[in-house]
Amino acid sequence: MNGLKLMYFPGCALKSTAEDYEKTAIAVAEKLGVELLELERWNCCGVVFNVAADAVMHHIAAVRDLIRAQEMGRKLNDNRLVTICSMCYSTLKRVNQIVKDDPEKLRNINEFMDEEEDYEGNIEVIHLLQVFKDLVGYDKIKEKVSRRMEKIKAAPFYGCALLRPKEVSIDDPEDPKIMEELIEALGAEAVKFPYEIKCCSSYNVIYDRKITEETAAEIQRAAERWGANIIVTTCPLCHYNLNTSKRKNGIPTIYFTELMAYAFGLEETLSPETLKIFNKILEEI
Amino acid sequence: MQLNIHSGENMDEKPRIGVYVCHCGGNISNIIDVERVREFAAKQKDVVIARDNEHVCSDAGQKMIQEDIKKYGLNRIVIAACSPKFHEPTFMNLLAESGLNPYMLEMVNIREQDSWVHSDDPQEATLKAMDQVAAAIAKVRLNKPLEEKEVKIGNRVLVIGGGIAGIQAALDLADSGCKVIMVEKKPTIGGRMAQLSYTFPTDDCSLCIISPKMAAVANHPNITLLTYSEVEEVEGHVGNFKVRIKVKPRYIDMDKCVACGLCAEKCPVKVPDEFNYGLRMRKAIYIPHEMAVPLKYLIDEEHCLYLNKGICRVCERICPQKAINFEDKVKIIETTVDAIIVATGYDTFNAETIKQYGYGRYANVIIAPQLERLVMPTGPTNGRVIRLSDGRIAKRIAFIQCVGSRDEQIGRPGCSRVCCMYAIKQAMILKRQDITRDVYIFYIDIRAYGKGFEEYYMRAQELGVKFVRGKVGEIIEDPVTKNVIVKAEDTLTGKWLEMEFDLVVLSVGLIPSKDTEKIAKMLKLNIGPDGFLLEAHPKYRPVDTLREGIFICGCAQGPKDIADTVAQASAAAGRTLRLLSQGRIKIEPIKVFVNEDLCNGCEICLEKCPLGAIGMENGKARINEAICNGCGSCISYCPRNAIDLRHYEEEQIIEEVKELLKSKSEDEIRIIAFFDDSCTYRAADLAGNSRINYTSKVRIVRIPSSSRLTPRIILSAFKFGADGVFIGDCLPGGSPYHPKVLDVINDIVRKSRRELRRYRIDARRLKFDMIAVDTAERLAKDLDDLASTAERLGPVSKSKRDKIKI
Amino acid sequence: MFRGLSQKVYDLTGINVYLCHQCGICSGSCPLVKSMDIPPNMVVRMVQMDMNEVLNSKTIWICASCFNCTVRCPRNIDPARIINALRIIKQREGVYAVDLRKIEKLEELPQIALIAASRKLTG
Repeated sequence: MNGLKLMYFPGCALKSTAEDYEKTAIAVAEKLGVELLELERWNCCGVVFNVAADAVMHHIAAVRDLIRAQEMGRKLNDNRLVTICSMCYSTLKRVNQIVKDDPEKLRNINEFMDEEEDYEGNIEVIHLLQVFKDLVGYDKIKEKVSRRMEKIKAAPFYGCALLRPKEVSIDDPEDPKIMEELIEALGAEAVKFPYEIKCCSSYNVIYDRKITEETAAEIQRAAERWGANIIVTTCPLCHYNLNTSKRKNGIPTIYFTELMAYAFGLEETLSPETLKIFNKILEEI
Repeated sequence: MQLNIHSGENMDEKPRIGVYVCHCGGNISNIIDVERVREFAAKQKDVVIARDNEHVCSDAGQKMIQEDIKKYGLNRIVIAACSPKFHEPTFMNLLAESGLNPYMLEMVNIREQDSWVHSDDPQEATLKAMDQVAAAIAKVRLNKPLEEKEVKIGNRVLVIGGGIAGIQAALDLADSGCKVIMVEKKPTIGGRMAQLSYTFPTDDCSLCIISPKMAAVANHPNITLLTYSEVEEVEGHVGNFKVRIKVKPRYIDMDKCVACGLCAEKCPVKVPDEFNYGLRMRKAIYIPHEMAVPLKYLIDEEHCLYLNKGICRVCERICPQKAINFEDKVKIIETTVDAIIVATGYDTFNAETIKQYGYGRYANVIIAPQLERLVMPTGPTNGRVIRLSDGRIAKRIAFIQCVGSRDEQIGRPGCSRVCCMYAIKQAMILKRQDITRDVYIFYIDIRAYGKGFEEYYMRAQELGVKFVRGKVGEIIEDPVTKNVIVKAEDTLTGKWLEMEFDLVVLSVGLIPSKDTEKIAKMLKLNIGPDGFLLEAHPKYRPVDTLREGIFICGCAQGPKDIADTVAQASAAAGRTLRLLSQGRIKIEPIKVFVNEDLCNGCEICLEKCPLGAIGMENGKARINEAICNGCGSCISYCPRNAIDLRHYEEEQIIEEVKELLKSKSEDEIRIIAFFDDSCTYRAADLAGNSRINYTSKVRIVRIPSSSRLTPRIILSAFKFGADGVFIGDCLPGGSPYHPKVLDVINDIVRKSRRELRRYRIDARRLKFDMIAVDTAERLAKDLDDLASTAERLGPVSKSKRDKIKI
Repeated sequence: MFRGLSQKVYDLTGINVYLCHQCGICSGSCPLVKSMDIPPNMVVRMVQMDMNEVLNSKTIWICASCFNCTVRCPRNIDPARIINALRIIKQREGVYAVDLRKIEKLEELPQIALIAASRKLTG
């Protein structure tokens, strides 16, 4: 799989409040022989998929991104669009599904965006986790691990976007394994706990921050009781929300690519705060 | 009623037809000009005499016909009166008593399907009556004498399944003198009932009430019991089922084994005990349980060290009776039986697939059948209901209902019927063991429908069992204490609950037993959408199947409790006795037949027959009349038109259609409607009874099933003057024929529409609808709509008609 | 086929709310039910009974569309969509649940939260 070039969709958060996520993702992928090329002229995916049956305008942003992918995909001769942020994954994948299933809707959107080429519905939206599992393989990941990781007991937190609804899920929504397998391939201990598929409470952090703090506290408590010393996530919003918990000495939450970067010995890509987290864990045990 | 079997009537004999038009006491004659119809009939070719009469069905009317037959040498009779559904058998008997073959009769329905539905237009009603009588005359001219064949039948019955259903049926039959062979897959009979603790609503000890029956089966002189055996193949038909049974080797000499158990004591291999759902271990040489019938040991060949690796043989050395026989082999038994009863029972739903309940992952989540074993004093824990994680007695227990039932997410929307009651039963047992226990039942509904069930539910509430109306969202196990936390909503208070329990019991639903599909294929039985065996009709034929001589009962047909199972088992035995008791069975003659001159042996009909009634002999298709039930599905697929249906032959139908359309003028429109006898015809009669008027432009052809139609027949209708054709047949599940006939009819309609398009005839003129017996309004609307469509499109032009080649 | 609120929800989502038999598994699975004033199953019940006051509940704004309810509903209905539809009805009337000008800690919030909030909580 050397020299695999894939286009990826960063999304707004990765370019600002979640820079570390992007940095580590690109570095880790490179180490594994995958070159992630930023999608040209991408725009915000519009997040949240509008469930109203008559919604058309809300999908336009996402479809435009799919058209960009179509254009770039032709140059790369590869129609796979990798997403890193789970919310972007969910939005793009669901919009892709809807316009593929409803040609009438697709026609409307294509006609509305008359300055763009028509979207033909042939882009495949995948998540970085799937790239690591299916295109790279855990054996290769094991090879690149240069550090002893057994002391790290990482509880995966999937959140909702990667697993629900069933049509876009990357794994079994009630019993997923993909993050556990990755953590174990890195040599760390994967702590499966029942709250891993829960919701971080999403935008309630704006509506009523207390709800988010309580939810985060509950999830942290459970992860700790199951024996974890760190929570690993794929979504910038989950990352933010889980870290709002006001509990003293509550276990921290990091991105899964940061865990991978640490395992591969790529400290230069990690932020000082994240490094501190790792050092603290290794000290304490 | 004696039916004279008339044989070999000379077909070259000239038809001498008598036509009788009934007034029906004004019901017909008030609208229809019966005189005119009679005069019209009298003028038709081959009609010797035509009469009208106040009440043809009366004694006087019948006598009149009998005398006419003698006096005028009549050999075919047409009776225009009420629906044949009333008096057809009566008049068929009348013909037989007069020395005629009963199938030389045609009845014309001019009451329910004419005078009662066209009361607003007596002119048209009379015209229609004349057309329908002309058609009946054309058909009866071509009717052939038919005989009901009689076949001798014995009293040997195969019962597949040794649970309570099979046992009950076998005993009823054996006590009545039948010779019964019972084949049971497991090494003991008794089925699921032997694994239960107590039975609701009487709280009888389950094994106690079934044991005497098990012993009776083993000792009955009329029952041959084959345990640890399976039915491999079944060929043939009622009265002559050829069965092949495989008897698996026990590696024990059954005559010598006295079940002392010394072998099992010494056997080194431990295997999870299936009878106790894995809660205990058994040895590789074992007996299923202490009350097994037959009470003999057997060796599990999958786990025995000697049979797999060639070592050990301790049991052989130790057995004082020298009963071990490692040379034992599979035995094949081939036998013939007259009827079969399928009683293969149920399995429980595999709760591991519902991941959020943690069964299989969390130690303290068990399924209800396991609890049945735990509460038994003779069970794996001597009646102590313990947590499997640490062996402590459980004090706080929760039941979760509808696990694997009423759930679209897993594709099992049906209710399993017994879980509410068994959970209540188990809850009460737990409370009686220790009244201070906290026992909760989380439910969606409590279904306590049976006799004594509601009272049983009240007793549980009196004992303090707590009922929470809310389906549990998920179960979480505390990693340290292994307690289980249940998350649910108490929908009746609107409060969310997170409650901790020692033990959670999943009330799993019932699914068809593992081999149901294999048995269904072997016996060519239908399976319902839920996987259970399909009965012939859910209301009035609940234990019959569409295959004559094969009956089903118990949970193989669908989830039910023991009382209903026993009732169905006796019902199946009763239906079997009804079949066998006369020593002979009559095979009704309306079946398909093959014109061997035209048949080219292509075998297409073999695969199209839904019952597998067609075989090959000497390179030609051959119909097994004992299996064929006359649906005619094979007909439209034969590329040589070599198959036809007796009494409803293609040429007869085309002649009927021709006559029905003869009176039509160029600017009028006519609809030809084909009604299947079971559903659409009855619905049309109902329209008559309800006096629902519809278009009088319709002319009706009665056929057993619309699957016997062909594109040729439909095109003929258009050729001879129809401007619209309606086809009616049953809804899925409503047909007495195989459900596949619906696919056949759709094929016929599709092919016909293609042909119509070729001739540039608007395909909307052909309509097919599924009609239930009680949807008379729908039928009337269909006919009216089709007539309007035909009016709108105008009559089909003569030039187009002439071009049609049939 | 229906009237009032149940018809509006049907038009927006194609869901026949009368299929819900109130088993309560949606509420039992909802991670945010503890913060809601009306649990999800009761919201659906109120739509069934055309009770317009459900549009004034906090629940329809708290629901994060995590779809835990949808993957478990034994009638395969999709309570998340129904709740979303109620929110959309309110939004199309011009109701905002949140004033985007008054958000705290704006700099550190990930964009997702802001956009999701503006999508879900405002018109």
